Amino acid sequence: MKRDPRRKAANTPTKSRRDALKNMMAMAGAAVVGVAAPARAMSPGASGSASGSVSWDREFDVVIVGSGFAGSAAAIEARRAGADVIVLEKMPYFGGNSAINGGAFAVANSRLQATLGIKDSVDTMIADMLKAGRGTNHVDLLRVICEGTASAYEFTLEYGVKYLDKVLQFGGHSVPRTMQTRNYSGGDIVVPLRQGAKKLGAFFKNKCKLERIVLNVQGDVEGVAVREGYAFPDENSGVIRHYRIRRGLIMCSGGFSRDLFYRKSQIPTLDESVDSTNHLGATAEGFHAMLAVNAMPVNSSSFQLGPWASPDEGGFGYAPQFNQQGTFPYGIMVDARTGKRFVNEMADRKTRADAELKLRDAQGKPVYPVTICTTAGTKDIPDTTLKAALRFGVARKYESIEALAEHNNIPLEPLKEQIARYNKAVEKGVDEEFGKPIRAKIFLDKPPFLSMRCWPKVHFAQGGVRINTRAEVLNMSTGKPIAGLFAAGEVVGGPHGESRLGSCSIADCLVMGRIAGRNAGSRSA
Amino acid sequence: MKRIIRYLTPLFFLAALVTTVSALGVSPSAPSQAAEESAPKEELAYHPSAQARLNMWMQQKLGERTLKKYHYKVHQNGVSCELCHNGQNPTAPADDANCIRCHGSASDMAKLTEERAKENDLPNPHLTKHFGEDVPCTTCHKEHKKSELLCANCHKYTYEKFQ
Ligand SMILES: Cc1cc2nc3c(=O)[nH]c(=O)nc-3n(C[C@H](O)[C@H](O)[C@H](O)COP(=O)(O)OP(=O)(O)OC[C@H]3O[C@@H](n4cnc5c(N)ncnc54)[C@H](O)[C@@H]3O)c2cc1C
Repeated sequence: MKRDPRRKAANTPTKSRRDALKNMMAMAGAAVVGVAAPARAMSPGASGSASGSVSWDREFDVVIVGSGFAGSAAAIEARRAGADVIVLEKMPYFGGNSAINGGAFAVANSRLQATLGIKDSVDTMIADMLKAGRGTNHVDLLRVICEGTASAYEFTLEYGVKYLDKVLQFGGHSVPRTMQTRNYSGGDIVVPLRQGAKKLGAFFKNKCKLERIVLNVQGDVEGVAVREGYAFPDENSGVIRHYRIRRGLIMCSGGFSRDLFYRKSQIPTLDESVDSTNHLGATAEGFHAMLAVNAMPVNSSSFQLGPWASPDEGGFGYAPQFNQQGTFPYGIMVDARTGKRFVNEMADRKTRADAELKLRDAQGKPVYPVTICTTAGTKDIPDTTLKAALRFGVARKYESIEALAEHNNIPLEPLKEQIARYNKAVEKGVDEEFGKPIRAKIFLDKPPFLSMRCWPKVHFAQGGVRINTRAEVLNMSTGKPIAGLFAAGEVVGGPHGESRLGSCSIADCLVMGRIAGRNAGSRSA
Repeated sequence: MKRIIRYLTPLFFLAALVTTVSALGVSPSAPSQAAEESAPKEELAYHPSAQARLNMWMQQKLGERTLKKYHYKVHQNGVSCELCHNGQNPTAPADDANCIRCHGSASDMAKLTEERAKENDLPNPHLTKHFGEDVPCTTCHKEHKKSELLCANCHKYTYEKFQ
């Protein structure tokens, strides 16, 4: 993203004089936030006089911002609770990160686990997530999420989601518990949920961006200002409208890994040299709108980087599956300058990404590490992914290790020695070098060899707003819920601590989205 | 505002026309001929010269704006912005519902491209595992600038006939 939407929004040219006034008020509101005034004054709509000047264009029981897993699940539950529901999506397409997601969903105590005799429990899942999160997770939320996974899984089945007939074991999970959708895509979940929500009568509106939250004199949510006809990323497009809200606003605006200004402000090294796997709309203005009404931020500078990404394609692409199901478990990753491994390829994401990011030359330019496996090591990679990765040059195939070394500029002898050491570890079943669990006797012996260049990409924002177990957003001054404001999904901070465990976001988004939908939908105005 | 643009439009048109005419060194009788060309009864026909003038006008007014060849007819020499832009002035975004009127529904489009995608061993662009059939036409298909494939944010393929 070249431009930062928020900063531009302040200069919005106006469609009419009335809008001009409102925009000025919005700017005034933003200025107030800058000096941390008391909650009441936070939103321009909060003060008595300003609130009176808002003329509402439309009215809904429940407004949901964001059409990913969390927003879609919330829409269904809010409809089931009898509320009329509109889901706002700023992009032309629906689904956000959920649509491009890999479709891996961690479920504790699923039906399939029982059938396959896999022993799991809510407590085991909590323990696994806590370990990845370095113990900093909000355990109250974690418990609600893990307890809710089994029924969230059944909920998706109800709406026609189809999974593979096996349970996968992802890195950092102590047992196999990850359900995988048929096409390895979050679209397999979010499309049927959207169709289901529509069938129940929820209304989905694209190109409609939340601009700010309007509070009443008591500091409760009274409505929202939105930009209808928004043409991402043009902050001057569309027109401002005001929607009054009778029961609740549910913020499901997702993560903000694509928000360069935000990212760099938090962590200056996460600059342009680091790409992101996220969809282009993964920016922070939804989070900011909540901060502007005094929501409590949690872990706001905590980003997760995906260690399996490739610099040779944009976004998520094919690399994650190729490395996660192939080279990482059944091969090695080496520093291209030394030919040596440098990390346990199956360690958690943070450990691996941090190790990779250190591989830089004297000028600080990345020296991309290279992953290597044989054809035998590709057995778990979905066929379409493997074919596409090779076809589009993201992965490469070599007839000899010499050819691989030459093409990737790796010193041959050290690489051969490394491979010999690794093969011994496979033989023994124990990796003494880095402690990688050896899952199968797959040696790096017979050509052809496959390889890929890697470089981490910003993948997930652990930070967000603080919610309670009812998905109510907490006010940072009072510690009490901001009446009428709910949040769910990646825009919430806490459940994942400092590092999210793979396949646990779908779990989080679906479980908390449902809870938010139910509670907002049944709230009496 | 809208009304002003509507009134201004013919003026721009005329200005562009005069520029064209003088540039081409055509005799001053040309304008009346052009006036005939845009007479209501002939509005639906495609006139290359009118189109050229329209392109010029659009470039002056809107910068480098293109028009897809296959839409020349639809565009009707620039007097029918509302066919795509919904009766509003052409600064309002086009509405997908208007694409569907000629091209068929999202499902129709998906059926249309299914075979060719399969032949090329590529996903069907109109029915994907990420978005189903729900991506609005104008997400990828741009009329007045270069079209851009949403898939290309992550994937390296493109479609030969995509425009
Ligand atoms: C490529 C990729 C693969 C992944 N794979 C997995 C996986 O296999 N398993 C797993 O558990 N997790 C995975 N994750 C993480 C997971 O997909 C996300 O955390 C999850 O989709 C977030 O869902 P959400 O509903 O919170 O937000 P999103 O799905 O991102 O939806 C938020 C929506 O809100 C919209 N929005 C934002 N701001 C506004 C505004 N101001 N006004 C209106 N709309 C707005 C956005 O455009 C977006 O569409 C993956 C993530 C990525 C990027």
